[in-house]
Amino acid sequence: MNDDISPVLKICVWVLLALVVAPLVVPVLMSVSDTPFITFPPQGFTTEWYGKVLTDAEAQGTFLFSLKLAGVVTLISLILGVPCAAGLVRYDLPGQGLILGLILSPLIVPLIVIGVALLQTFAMLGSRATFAQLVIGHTVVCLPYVIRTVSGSFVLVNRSLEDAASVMGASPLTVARRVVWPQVRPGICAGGIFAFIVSFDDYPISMWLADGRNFPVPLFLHSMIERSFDPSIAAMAALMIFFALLLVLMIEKAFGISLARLIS
Amino acid sequence: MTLLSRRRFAALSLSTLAAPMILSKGAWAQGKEIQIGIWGGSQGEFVRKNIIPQFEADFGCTVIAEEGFTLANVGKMQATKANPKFSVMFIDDVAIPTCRAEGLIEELPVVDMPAAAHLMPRFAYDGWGTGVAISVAGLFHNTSIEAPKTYAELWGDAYRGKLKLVSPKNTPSVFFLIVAAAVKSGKPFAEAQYLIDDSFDQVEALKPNIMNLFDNGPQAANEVAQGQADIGLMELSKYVYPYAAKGAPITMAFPAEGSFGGNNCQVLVKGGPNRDLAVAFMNRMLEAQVQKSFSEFALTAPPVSGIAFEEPTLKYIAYPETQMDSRGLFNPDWNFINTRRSAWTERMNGIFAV
Amino acid sequence: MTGLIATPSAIAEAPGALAPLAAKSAASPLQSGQHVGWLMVAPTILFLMVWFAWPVLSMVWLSVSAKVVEGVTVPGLTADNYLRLFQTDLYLRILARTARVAALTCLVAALLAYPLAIAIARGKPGLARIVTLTILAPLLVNVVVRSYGWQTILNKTGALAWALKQVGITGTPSLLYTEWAVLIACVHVYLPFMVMPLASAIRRIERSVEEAARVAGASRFRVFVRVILPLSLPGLAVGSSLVFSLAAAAYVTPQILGGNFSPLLGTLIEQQILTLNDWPFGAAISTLLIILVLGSNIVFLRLVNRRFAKWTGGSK
Repeated sequence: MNDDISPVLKICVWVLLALVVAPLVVPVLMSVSDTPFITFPPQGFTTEWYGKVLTDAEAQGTFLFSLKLAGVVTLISLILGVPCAAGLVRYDLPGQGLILGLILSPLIVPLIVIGVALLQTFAMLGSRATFAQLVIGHTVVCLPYVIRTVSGSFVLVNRSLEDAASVMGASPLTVARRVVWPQVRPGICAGGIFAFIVSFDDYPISMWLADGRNFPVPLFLHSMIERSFDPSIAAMAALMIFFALLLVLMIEKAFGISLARLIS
Repeated sequence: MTLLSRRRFAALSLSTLAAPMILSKGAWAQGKEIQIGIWGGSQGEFVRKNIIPQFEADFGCTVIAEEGFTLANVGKMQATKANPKFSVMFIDDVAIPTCRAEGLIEELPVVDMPAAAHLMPRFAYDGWGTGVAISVAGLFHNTSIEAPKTYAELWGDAYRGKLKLVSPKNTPSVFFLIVAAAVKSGKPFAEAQYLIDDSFDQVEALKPNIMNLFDNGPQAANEVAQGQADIGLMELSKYVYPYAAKGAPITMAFPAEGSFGGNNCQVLVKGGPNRDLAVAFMNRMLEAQVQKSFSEFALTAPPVSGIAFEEPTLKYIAYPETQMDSRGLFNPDWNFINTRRSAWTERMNGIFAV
Repeated sequence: MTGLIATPSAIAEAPGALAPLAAKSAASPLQSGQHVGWLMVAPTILFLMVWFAWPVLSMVWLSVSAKVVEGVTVPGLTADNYLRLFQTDLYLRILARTARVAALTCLVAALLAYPLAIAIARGKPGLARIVTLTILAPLLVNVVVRSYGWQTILNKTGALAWALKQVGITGTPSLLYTEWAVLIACVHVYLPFMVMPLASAIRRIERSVEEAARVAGASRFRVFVRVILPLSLPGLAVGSSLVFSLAAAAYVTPQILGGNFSPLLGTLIEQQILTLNDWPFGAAISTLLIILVLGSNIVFLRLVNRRFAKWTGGSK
């Protein structure tokens, strides 16, 4: 295949890519500055700030909290979403259009509005179970991703294999386990990963529901930006960037899922 | 615990004075939990990292702290009024009358708060709250520039785009409005505070000099220290001096028109969970030892009398009480201001947010 | 990564999302055990009814069923919240700014996205992969961190000022805390949502069409204007609807980079609810934001359908 791109366009592309990564590179540079204040260009070299962030009990606590929250949200989204996706694909339910509309609409309503609406509802119910509130809020926005991804993989299941297995005398459970599961597993994994990421990175829902004890990473980062004077905030931003790169590697290599599915 | 060991405990406890208190603390507070609303900045950090852990260790309880500013903390109390979530709230003196009128807080059981004995009467608020940290409010500026002698100078062209102004969310924003009214009318703060409604043209005249409105005192102090802006206006000294003491190129200035008292207080939430523990925590906040280290860290003055400070700390705070009087710190008429505050906020937004 | 989460793409992508589900009816004739199907979807439907539909609808209801007068909530059917919204200069201006920032973000993102999308669709596999990864990987970085990154670049003593100083330019005003800063960061954060739909639209264009034009002597630019641009309009519309909705609902980015000088509707909601405790008015602003986003999605989609049918002459 020959390259159809003009040199001018190529230069444009590289400049744009540089601009895209610049706001991610600059904090990483600043994070090693051996000065008590954030400066650009960085002066000297130290890993002191990384040590400070990694040993900070609050930062650790909030990271573990977000992992726990995202884990629970992923689990619940899959428990609800996988059967739902399968049901939608396998059965012709009356009012399917309406059902789909309901499932996909959390993607249209602005998150900040979903968050405030949930806060109002929880206040009305007199609920004080903050963790459960956060799980519910995140699950609402994770479900559409899970269902979309998983239903895609159910559609691709080869029905004749199932029929063949049934004819050969396999029980429905065996068919599900031995024939269907291997085919839909990648879709379910992808759905789970996306749910995890969406929950781990959520700000606009958490900002309404979180409290002092249930304080996810994005809110913690925001409060650090406001109160931290030294380059430790840059170090924390850098750590988040490395964490994201690790996720990219995991998604692309370990799971073999194309990143492009994130927004397709 | 067996009868024998309980007797031995009783005997032991009689042998020292402190022991009975500690034992009784552990007994009733064990496993209880309260949520409190505090402020941010280094002051909040000290509460979270020093005062609370020690209190939790002494009482075997859990204290969950959530950072916020006065109006947001009042909002949290209003939102959870039917089913209070917080037990103790840190707010500025400005909001005490409102909270009292709306039935959000209750009168303190002073008998259960031995440490309140030394509370200065001016910080007792008729028993509806106590001061916890007293700041002075004024300007903060980068040490590389010379501070203006009067607030009126800030309206000059020399400061174009170089000022950071506190956002209307925060208490010191009211101080700014009083300053603007004083600059316009030439009257002292005590009279100018009633002229704010007619002084918004003066506020608007400052707009070209304002770089941005800041929500967050520490962040603004940081940016001024970095030289991104020359002056920040109207902030409590507690957000500035701790960084100045650490060597950041920033300090406070108090122009000729006068300075304001910034009174951080604590209140007891009406019907909040574990009231007894909440009262014990409020008492802890007033204990001499806590107040001394707290004040030295945040560089604020204690609301209780009889605490001795070293020279480096005294340099930053208005203490003892005679110092507070001689500096003539102005405390606005909050009852008058509170009824107008939301209208002023909207007018400020109308000037700056468009 | 607010962006990733918020893909209000459902409408825009409805055809795509529905396609596999529509295909299944052909694959599987109506099954007798329909109740099993209901059992499988019911928990999700119930969950979303209770924790999504009901909260959002009751929020909308609140905006017309109560108002706050001098700090006290007065129940009763009322249009006052909306009248206040549309009669106060301040709120109209913030509404206008929200629409302006969202529209400009769309426009700038579209301009920048074309070269990148063409590189993905038409470049050598290696280049296409590098561009795709570089565009998408930032989506995994938290939006707070990305906004912070721009803060370190745009502030008065930041990387941009330093770079300008190296080439002898000093004394330029700081971009931080201006609408420009908000715009720049929004474009950066939401660019992937423009690039990917465009790239897939361009990929669908037959190379033979381009080659024919080139053989006939058209310059690269003319090929772009006459072939790629018109044929990629569906992708542009999908991308625009995504970027517009995301930017209109942005909260974190204007918060970190706007310095209270450039609040958008999202900031206004937060202020009304958390600071001023005016829930009914906050609910009215929320409703307005939903309408703005829904409206833009519908407009862009109409554009797609009409143009798409026209340009392709119905041959999909």
